Amino acid sequence: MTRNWRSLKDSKLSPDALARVRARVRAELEELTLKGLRQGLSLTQVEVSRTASMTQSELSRVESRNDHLTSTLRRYIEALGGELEVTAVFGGRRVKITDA
Amino acid sequence: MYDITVTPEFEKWFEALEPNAAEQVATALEVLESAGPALDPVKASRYLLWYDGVGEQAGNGWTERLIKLHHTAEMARQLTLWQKEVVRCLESPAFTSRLTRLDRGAAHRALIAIERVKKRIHAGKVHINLVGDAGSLPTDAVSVKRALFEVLALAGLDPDDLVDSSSGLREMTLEELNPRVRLIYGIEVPTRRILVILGEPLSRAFYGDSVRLAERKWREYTSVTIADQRQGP
Repeated sequence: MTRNWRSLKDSKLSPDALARVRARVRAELEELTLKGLRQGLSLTQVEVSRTASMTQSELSRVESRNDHLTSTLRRYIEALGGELEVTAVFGGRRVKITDA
Repeated sequence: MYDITVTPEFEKWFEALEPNAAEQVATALEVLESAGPALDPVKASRYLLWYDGVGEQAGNGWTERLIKLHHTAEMARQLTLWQKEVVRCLESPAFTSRLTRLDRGAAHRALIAIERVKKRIHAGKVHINLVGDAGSLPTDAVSVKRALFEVLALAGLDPDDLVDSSSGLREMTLEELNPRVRLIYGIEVPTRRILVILGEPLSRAFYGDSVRLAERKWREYTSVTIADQRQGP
């Protein structure tokens, strides 16, 4: 006899623990790649590549890369309708880099 | 979203977990519920662990050596899983068909990138054999993953186009718990159903009993669900 996972989880974990689990899941799912960010905005590669003045193949390469030129990343984020900010974090101090 | 049910064996094990471990396991299953088969091969492997070869039986003076051995084994595991993923992706009909349609220049670039993947895998194996130290745990597997994604991009494919949509048993390892914990589950992609069969700490050297139990439970479950589907609503 199998049991539904949700009922098991809800009976085992306290409301606080359930809230922490939800937050962790959200963080894990929202640790977004560029592609995840684009998909979250319901935009296709074709739409973004047109706005970013790239070919779809270039855009696909940008999404699969783990290292980016800041200028390319800026073009991509702006094509999604966002704005790129680069911030350096030193312990509790956050510094916005203006010439990146 | 996938519909997750659990076996009585998993239920009993989960009920007995201490709170922090239960939260970690719940988090992993909630992510699985959303991602289904799209988890990467290190997180959700099709290859069930039968034999660890290390275990956790640390005797006097062996702790440090065993920790190193664990890290080396984990590096090798991740590299092997990515190597298998490379083979699966590059042998997939979607990739081979795309490769044959590329123009000469693009095909040449894709083939060079495939050579790069092979070199990364080879370098990873050499690194593990020669060094095997704990300091660079994910590097080799990550570089293979990057190189594979580069090949796919050159062929105009997205990793999501090649998600392993086959049904069957999988295992997920929770590295953040000590000892590590693994969950064995079966996934039925067409019906979007997941059966979580068991959870266990990775604290032994041999897990044949667990794998056999998981295979039996999965056979029973799928025979029931197939019968249900035949009967219809």
